[in-house]
Amino acid sequence: MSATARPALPRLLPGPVTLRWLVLGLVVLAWEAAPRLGWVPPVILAPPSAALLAGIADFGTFARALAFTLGEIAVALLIAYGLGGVVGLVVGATPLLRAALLPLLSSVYAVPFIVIYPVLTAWLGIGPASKVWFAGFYGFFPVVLATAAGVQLVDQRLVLMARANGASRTQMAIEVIIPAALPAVVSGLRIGGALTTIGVVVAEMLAATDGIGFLITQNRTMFRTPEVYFGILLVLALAGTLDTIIGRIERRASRWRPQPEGIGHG
Amino acid sequence: MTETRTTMEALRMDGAQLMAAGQDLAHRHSNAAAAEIEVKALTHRYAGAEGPVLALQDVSLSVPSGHFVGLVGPSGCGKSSLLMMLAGLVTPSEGSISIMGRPVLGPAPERVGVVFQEASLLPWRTALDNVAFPLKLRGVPRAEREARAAELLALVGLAGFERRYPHELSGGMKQRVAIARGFCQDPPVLLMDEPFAALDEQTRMTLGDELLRIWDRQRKTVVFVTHSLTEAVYLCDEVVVLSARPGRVLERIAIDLPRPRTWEVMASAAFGELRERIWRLIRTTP
Amino acid sequence: MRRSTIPLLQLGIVLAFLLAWEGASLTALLDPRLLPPPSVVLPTVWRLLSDEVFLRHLAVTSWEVTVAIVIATPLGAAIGLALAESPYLGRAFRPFFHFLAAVPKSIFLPVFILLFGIGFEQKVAFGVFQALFVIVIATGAAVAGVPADLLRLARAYGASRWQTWAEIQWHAMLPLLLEGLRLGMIFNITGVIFAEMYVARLGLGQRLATWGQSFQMPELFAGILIAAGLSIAVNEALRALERRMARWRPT
Repeated sequence: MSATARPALPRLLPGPVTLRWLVLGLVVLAWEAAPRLGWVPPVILAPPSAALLAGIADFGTFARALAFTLGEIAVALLIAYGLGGVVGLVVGATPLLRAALLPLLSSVYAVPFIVIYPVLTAWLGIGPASKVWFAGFYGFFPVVLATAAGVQLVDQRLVLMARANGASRTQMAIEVIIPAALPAVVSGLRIGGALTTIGVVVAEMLAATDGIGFLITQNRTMFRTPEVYFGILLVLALAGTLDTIIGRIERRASRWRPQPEGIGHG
Repeated sequence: MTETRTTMEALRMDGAQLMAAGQDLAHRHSNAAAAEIEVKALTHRYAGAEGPVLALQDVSLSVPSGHFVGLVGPSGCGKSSLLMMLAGLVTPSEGSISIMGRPVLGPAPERVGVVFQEASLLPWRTALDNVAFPLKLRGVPRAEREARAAELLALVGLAGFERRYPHELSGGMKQRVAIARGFCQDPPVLLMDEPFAALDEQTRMTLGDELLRIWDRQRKTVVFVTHSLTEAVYLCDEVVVLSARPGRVLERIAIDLPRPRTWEVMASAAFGELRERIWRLIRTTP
Repeated sequence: MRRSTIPLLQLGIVLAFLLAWEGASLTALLDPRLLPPPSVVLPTVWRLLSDEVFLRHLAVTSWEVTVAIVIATPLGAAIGLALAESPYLGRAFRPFFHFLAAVPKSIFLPVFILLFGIGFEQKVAFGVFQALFVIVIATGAAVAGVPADLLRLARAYGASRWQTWAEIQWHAMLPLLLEGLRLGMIFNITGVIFAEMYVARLGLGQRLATWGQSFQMPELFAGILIAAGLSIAVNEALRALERRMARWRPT
């Protein structure tokens, strides 16, 4: 955002997008080459090819662990979305509750939620239950905040207009309040979904009997580095896929909104 | 006395306008007995930030059927509140309102249509769906309500825009959709709360003419709140002037200008006099 | 009347929570061994805060967090500024940072352990990694958020580069920068404590994990309260700073 004119860039430099892919390519290359050439001990950095091969070789184990984790995520999402949605609706519709609770909740946001986890393992053991409740509540908070905001920000003029046209309470909820609140709620579901996913994996890493996080930790303690890296890639793919799915839903839910000019890509 | 003046005016006009004026007169005569809207001793208080506020004081009004009545007054005089009470959206502290002989106890969308200042269109629905919205609430089947909505959109000059979303429409177009929606259940009474306030002057004038054109076809009873004295005199048969808060009826000024209202009418001396009269009334009365 | 009811209501909520907690424990609704009541936990907090051994753990964590944010902030700001000032570099690399900011970074902890071991450096590096990206993005947003008409005004009045920076850009950018710092701090603390819980010899996280494993519930709850208290205190302090620096903004 400089105020002075810039001299034109010399033609020798590649375009920005090209540069990006070039650098990315170089990074992957270095990642592959460094351990193989002995610059970095392979036990610290496994080449991507080795990681992928290890994953393919051990496919069954990884698939089973992933399935186990997905199960935990699904149940945790039920808690985060279901409970979060209901509480968010109630808080959003009650001005006094809203004014009192929301500042409290945003203060609590500063606390690292992971500190609750040892309590849950003490109460529920290191099986799936502790993961589900931990991750469920981890995702609960953004869903509540977003739902409350969505309900609160419904344009009151639309409510007035619907009343003037004789809308019943049910019609008001279906025709006005839910569509108006939907974009905010869905963006809350997106963040909540991301936190729940990572919550499950992180909890598995700390103390578990099964799951992809548990597998990563196990491999680390046994110094099976390629397997560790594969596990991490798998989790990234999982989180990315979930986010893309919810992102699609979010876009569908916001189709009627005026689209902002492209601000750049994520 | 109003009829006499109108008849005199009629004698000065040429043939075509005579016809129109005659129709005008006949219409009013036939319904002169039944006051469409009856407001009696309306007083309204509400709880403000610093204690109770008296918004309207002892307002009484009767609007004959088929009249286009304007409601003007200084800011805060309660004209919008009065309209909200006519619409059944606000309950007055004291007094009574009846429309078409029935007391107003809540919104009555088949009898009373409302057009708001901000078009208040549902942003997630197309123009067609927005116009059809009141019919949807009533449970009218889709084919029927979409046909009616398409008809109305054509009436307000938006044929071809049925599938557009509000964010794709200009301010003037949005307000047209809102007007079409107001007409959709064909209510005998139409309440309009500064519907053109958010628009630029040229659009205001175009829409004003459009509104009169549509109104001329079916002569509903219209109560039109506006800040613009020009608009009030141009559009209305009668202008009710409210005082500053607490709002009281200062005067009901008959607008005897010939219909259809045109540029010439607006440029005439009579127009200017009427507007001046209203302005003086507002300005000098505390 | 409304304005004073809200803090009272909040206080009421907190007190009700404490009372319910105490009640649930005492009436054995929940096993008091698993959920020690406030009447046990609060004195434990006091005991811990006077215990030299615990204080050493707390100091280690605090030091790790501090060093991490001291590194992450100028680094992140510098990167953010570079990306904003150079449209070329910005277009090329900003998507990287947006992507990495969105990725769940906790999953990379094993990599940091492989790279740095399990000591002080690893915790700091991980904290920096957690905080860096949000600071980069906040800095970018701060630069972009300087109103163009004010910059144009500066140019019209012939302000020098330095004057434009000091008179306009700095003030316009400060609120977003501080918010970035605050969020970075949250991610930093979360990252450090997680890393300590995962594997460490010293630190608050390590204590929490150990107490959990050995069912020392009063200590665990006390430790959680201490961790929560410190995090909230830091967050509120930064938020107060943010508010002071942004007093001129319309709310």
